[in-house]
Amino acid sequence: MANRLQFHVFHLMPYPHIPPGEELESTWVTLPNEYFDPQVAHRLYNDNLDQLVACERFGYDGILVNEHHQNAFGTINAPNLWAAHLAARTSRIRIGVIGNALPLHQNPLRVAEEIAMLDIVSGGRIISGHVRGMGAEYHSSGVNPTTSKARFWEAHDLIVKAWTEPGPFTWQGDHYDIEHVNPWPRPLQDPHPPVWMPGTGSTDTIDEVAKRRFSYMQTTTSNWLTKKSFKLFREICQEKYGYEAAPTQLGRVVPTYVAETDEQARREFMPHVMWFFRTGLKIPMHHLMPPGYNTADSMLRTIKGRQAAGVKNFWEMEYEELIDQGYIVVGSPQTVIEAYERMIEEYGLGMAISAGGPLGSMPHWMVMKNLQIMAEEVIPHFREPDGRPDHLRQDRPAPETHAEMAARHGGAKLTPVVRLADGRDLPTPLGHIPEIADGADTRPPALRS
Amino acid sequence: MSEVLEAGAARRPAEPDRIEVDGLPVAYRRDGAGDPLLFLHGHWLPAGPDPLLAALAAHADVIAPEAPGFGGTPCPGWVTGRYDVVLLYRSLLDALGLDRVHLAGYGLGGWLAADFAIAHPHRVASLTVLAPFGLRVPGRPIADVFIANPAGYDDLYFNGEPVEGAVPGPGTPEQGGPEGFARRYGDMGAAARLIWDMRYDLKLEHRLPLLGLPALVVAGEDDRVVPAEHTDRWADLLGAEAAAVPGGHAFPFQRPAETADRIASLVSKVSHG
Repeated sequence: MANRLQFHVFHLMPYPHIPPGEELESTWVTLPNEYFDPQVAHRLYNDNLDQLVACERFGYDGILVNEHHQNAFGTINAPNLWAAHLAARTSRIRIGVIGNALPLHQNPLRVAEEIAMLDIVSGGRIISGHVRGMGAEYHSSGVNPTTSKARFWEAHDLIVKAWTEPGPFTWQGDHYDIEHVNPWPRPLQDPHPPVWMPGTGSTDTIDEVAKRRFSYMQTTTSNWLTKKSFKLFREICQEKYGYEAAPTQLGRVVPTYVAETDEQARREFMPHVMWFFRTGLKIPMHHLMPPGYNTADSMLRTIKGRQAAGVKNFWEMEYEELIDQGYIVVGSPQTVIEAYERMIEEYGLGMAISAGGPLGSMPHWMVMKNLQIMAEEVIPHFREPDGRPDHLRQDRPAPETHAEMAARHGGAKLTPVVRLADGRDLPTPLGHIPEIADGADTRPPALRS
Repeated sequence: MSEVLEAGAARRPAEPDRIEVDGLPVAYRRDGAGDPLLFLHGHWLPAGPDPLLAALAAHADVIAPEAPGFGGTPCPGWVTGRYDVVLLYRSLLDALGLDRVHLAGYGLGGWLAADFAIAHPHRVASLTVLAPFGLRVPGRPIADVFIANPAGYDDLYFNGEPVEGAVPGPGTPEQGGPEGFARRYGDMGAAARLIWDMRYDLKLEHRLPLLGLPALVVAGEDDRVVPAEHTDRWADLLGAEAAAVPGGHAFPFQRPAETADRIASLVSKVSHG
């Protein structure tokens, strides 16, 4: 029994208190951080985290955070920190880090370790998104964009191997040379947390994701491009790798706002959508595409493709265009339900991402309103009769209580011991009991005369 | 000088020649007569005929290769750093049967020319660096050429006096169409492969004074990419004369004849005393 559509709330945590995009070269890289007021951010970050925590009681499938650096569009620099915070404040909802920007980190094992820690402490609720990072982030980090793609795939393969193959082993790659790979801890989910990878529709990315049977997440694009990408994904799965893509392999970031009526929804969403596209996404080419981030050939294909399809820059689009071309969904519950039904039927959509919740400069109350109406009037339409998210029908990968752990496993495989001078092993849990400890000679066995 | 420039421009072949070097088809242009002069381009290539090479050809036998990933030379996987390019150029000289050359380079090419001279001093008759990259001068970084806003090229490179058709970065698809944009983006990516990680090499401070070659540093009078402190420091480290040509960082394109004269004067002095 599985629901027809999963609903994930995605937070970028923008910092919207900046001048309009028209006055800025960019909201990335060079936007002076004097605009960033830590006191305002204290309220914003905590509002944002409260919104994500609330999603559990509303009944969403997952809450997602991501990594961006040095910009006003998304201020989560260290998403694993936020995932830890969310893990502590929720108990069952899935938590996605979509994702860690692998090439931006010196040592990929740090990501493998942190995700494993999060997975364990959260009881196996983590989704691990792996991304290259925006081109702009190569300007901000000093990391070389010309090797980022190769480093991305190598880091990804190293992380998955570190999660799944017994250590220690040696990794001798083109970019990472680690003589002793042996991360403690290993993740709780078996064989490892689900991996999601975002893309804008490039065949290379879709092929790599399909090959590994991971989930593909189409970033904010138009209906026609999303449809084309999903069709390609399903075809590659079927024809090249011989399996049928699962609905949960096909996710789409489609910012959605639902309100009492179509008119009310459009009015409430408009300013925040326009801030998001016009100012939040004001990223000129010389920031977005550092030299070498793509090849010259792929740039040529992209530009020609965009020109042929008449694709505009985000900040050049009008509200009605964004709605008509399907970049966003807005309306009454019935309108939103119908839009998602079409996406399921026409594209095979399995996961709606940014489905309800925050966008751009939206105030806290409006985010909560969007979350609540979506949860009560849209989501149930796509659920099994019990109305539950899929994860509530599944067994948790770890016992929830000490009692359950003891009943099911009896304890850990090995008992910690201290080897005594006479060669006996003193079990430490009982090592303080006189009958067991008396006469224990704690000199190291090797020193025994 | 204008006659010389026009004659040179007319002589110069539109398409580069190619020569197989270490398994790589290296695109290069060769023009002029006299002492051989290896000229190394900077982080961008002009779209049309190169007026500096044309002007230099009036003075010397100019050999101007395109670095791996630039223009007509493919970028093999084994080119990941400056030294790979240096070794390729050594093999290029071997392939052309040239034992010893005068060496000059502009910007990134100046840095590579210095690398070449450090690695193979006996094959270098003289070294001329034009607005070279490669040094760290505290508080005076070289402009980040990889993020320059195309709307600011005229100011940053040309000091308000642009040269027709010269686009010193990826620019925009409106300049030369998507193909022109993609080609320039590829060139910049090839430069980024070599110098993105570190925009300077601290070892030059130790190595340049050991060179002991006849050398010349040429600066743009008001270079907004490479601050004057850099060319001054190069001159100190090389024990070389520093000359200035009017213009911005694009001075070799703005004043090709004057720039060529500077390079030729050192070549002539070394070769003919």
